[in-house]
Amino acid sequence: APRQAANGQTVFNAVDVHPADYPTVTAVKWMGEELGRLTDGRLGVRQFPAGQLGTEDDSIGLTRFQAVDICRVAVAALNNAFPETRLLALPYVFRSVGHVRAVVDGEIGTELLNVFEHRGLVGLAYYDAAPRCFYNVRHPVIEPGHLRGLKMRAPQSDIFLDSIRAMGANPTPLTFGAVFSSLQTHLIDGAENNWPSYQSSRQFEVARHWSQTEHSFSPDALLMSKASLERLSKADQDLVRDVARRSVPLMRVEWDQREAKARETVLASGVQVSEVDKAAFAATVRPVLDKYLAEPRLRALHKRIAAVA
Amino acid sequence: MSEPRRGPVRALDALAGLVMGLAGAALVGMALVQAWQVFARYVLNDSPGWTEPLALLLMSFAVMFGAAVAVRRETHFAFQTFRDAAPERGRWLLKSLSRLIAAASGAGLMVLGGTLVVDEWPVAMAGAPLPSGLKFAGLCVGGALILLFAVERLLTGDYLAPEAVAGAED
Amino acid sequence: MEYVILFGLLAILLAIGVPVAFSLLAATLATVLYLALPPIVVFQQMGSDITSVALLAIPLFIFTGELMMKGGLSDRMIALASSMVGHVRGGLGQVTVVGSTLFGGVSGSAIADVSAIGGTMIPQMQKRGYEADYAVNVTISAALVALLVPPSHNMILYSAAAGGGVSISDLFAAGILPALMLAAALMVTAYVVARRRGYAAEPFPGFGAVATRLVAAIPGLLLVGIIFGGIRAGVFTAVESASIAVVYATVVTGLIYRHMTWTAFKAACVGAARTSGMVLFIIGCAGAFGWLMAYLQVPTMMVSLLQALTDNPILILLLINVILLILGTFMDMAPLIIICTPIFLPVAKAFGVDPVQFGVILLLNCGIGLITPPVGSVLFVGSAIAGIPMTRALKSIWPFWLACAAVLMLVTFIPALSLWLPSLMK
Ligand code: NA
Ligand code: NA
Repeated sequence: APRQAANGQTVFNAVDVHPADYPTVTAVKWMGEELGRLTDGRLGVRQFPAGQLGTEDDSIGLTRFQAVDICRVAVAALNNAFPETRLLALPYVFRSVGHVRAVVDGEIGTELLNVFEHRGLVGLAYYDAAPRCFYNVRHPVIEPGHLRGLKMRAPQSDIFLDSIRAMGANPTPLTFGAVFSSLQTHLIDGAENNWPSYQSSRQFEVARHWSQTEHSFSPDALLMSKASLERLSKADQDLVRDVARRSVPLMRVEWDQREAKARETVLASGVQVSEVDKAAFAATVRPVLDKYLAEPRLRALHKRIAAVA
Repeated sequence: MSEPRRGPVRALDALAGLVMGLAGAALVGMALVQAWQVFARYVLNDSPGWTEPLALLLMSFAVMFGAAVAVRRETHFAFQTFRDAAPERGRWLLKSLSRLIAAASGAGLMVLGGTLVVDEWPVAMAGAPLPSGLKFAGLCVGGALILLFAVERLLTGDYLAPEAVAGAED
Repeated sequence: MEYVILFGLLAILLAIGVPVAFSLLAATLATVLYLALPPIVVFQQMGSDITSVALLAIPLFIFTGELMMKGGLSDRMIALASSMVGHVRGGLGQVTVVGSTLFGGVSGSAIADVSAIGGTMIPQMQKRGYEADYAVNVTISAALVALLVPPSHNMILYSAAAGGGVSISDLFAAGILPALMLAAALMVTAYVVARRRGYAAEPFPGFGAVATRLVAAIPGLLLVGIIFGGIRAGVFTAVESASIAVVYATVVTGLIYRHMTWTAFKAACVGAARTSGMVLFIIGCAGAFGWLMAYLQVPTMMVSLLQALTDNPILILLLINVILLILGTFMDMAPLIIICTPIFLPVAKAFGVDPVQFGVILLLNCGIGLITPPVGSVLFVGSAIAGIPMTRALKSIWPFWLACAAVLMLVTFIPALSLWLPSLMK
């Protein structure tokens, strides 16, 4: 629940597993400042970054039970509870960063922010976390065949496990924290992630082959406890939603800068980057898409996403 | 020397024995499941996603069962210097308070752990075709056992090891 | 007020002999109710902790220890070790420290270490007339070496908590010298204490006997080799190695040696479940307590307190050490690293401390917290394995604490101890 100060100030608690200087964290920090500015300090945000209050799975529960008010999680963590979010995590659904941004900014994005209500959550915004690509310790990967026999770390997510298997690799579920040492000992041959995580986790020190597969543009979701939000007046509710929406472009500028900087650092260290045959990779995951889009509702949504320019 | 154990206590001996047996079996299960992951990865070249969630599930049951029986035998870690120095009546009071706190904790684990089970039940676990709610089932069942054993201690006092009877705990 | 409830209630409950786990849980719940937070989050946090991947290896290593003991593997290994170094006073203590240093590199976790090595060594030391408190003290302090020997999960956690700016390879290299120093300091301490207690040195049995015992110990040594080599070579994770160790120990003792009866096997399962239950249940309750400490931003408060006190860098470092030690007595390692790194690292950096060196300082501090009450998971495991009350181990632990503190001071004030090896590798 939000903390009610004696002077009538309402402070929302926000959690994130990323460190304090990460774009999603600074975006929520900006939200707090902007809310304070617009309400003469009546509303504010207190942050718990760096996973201080637990993992992404934990933070969804904490928000639902109103121990905290706002959480930022990867959509993969929401896939099983909220089937519509699978569209955002599935491989080769989006063509580019521009495409995923257009989708989440548009009508579909608004619809996808409203799928959380039946479990006590309100979607405030979708933040960037894309694109995700493969990297490994063995050799350049240019076509799907090159993934064969490679043990690739997969996040504990059904969609990622299925997709990595379909692309020909052997998906090995591991927690993010264990990836570095597992790459070092060759327990796994590689993993997949975005540029900033590849750099900040220092995994580029051991996995020296990056492949621009761009297989997933899976974004992050900023969620709020429905009860915490509805405690506010209608005007304040709209204000919170609006400020969250306006934090998105800010977050994107920082994300783009961070991605460019991460890429630069990694390239300067001598990592080998390969362009890949994306169409060939996309073809391998066709059965995964068919499986998850068997439901007509999701299939229709997929069609509409593909139609967004 | 010791009185013959009464019916309800004998029944609880049997229950505690069963619970420890299950906890031990869960440990064996954990080892086998993780070993299967290694076998599947190298021999079948296919890493199943279900081994980790299943091993974690087995761990939560083993832990809560072990913790519950430790309440019965009063082997949980505690600083007893002060209590042991107290006069007998004070000792009895402090022990009862301690058992009451354990019972209340057990009740909390059972009820709120159960709430979590129900709440998460409709969501599938990532990696394994099981309901997510199972993650909290160990808490709920273990909590019920903690409550039961703490109440037993409140009513019957210190734990006395059963005579070497077949079927008793161990 | 909430701080008074949280810490005051905890202190009172602990003092009157309420089990540590229930004291933590009750203090947490009472504070949560006072703050009008939903009490269900306490149980959600506990549930999440006792189903956390980081803990999976612990019950399996405890299980392995039980199997090795009941199946006679440990007896043979100890017979070998004592034929080799038994003629040194406190020889088994020396074996334990060396074993922890080697094995520690593999498990990367002090708790896994104390379960694996303690499960074997503590009963053996007791059997040979070493007092239980000595056996526990040597083992639990030796387990701290594991935190510093690469690969260390905790260093990876530190790097992540530092925002990824600290190189993990540098951290790994930085831990090596302090780890060796700590091992040496503990071996000396173990020797001195053993001498003062007058533990008899055994006569050297001759090289023939050593060779015979070596052959007898091969299956046990192989087990260590499988764990050690398997993880080093990246064949499996620490958790998987623990499960392979369980399977291997069962097969060797049951089917090949036929030393393990069905009854002994069942007893090993139940014994392991019993110890795991007590240990992990406390870790779960401590997790909920630590969560509330983080929520109340206790570490932040301590820092502002510290900054108000002094701006002398040496005093600041000493104070950081003291605060970490105090926090470490209440909290477990992983939450402490996650919470304290973003707070203390900037302070340390501002006073010119290298982030790599600070990582070593932080880990050593947190490590010492693991063997101090009231929340010291390594202390709990060690005492549980020996079957003695924690307080008994605590009465005689101070020489080992002194040894750890001495190494901590050296690491704090001589940066080269941490930074020289990483600089060589550039
Ligand atoms: Na280590
Ligand atoms: Na401690």
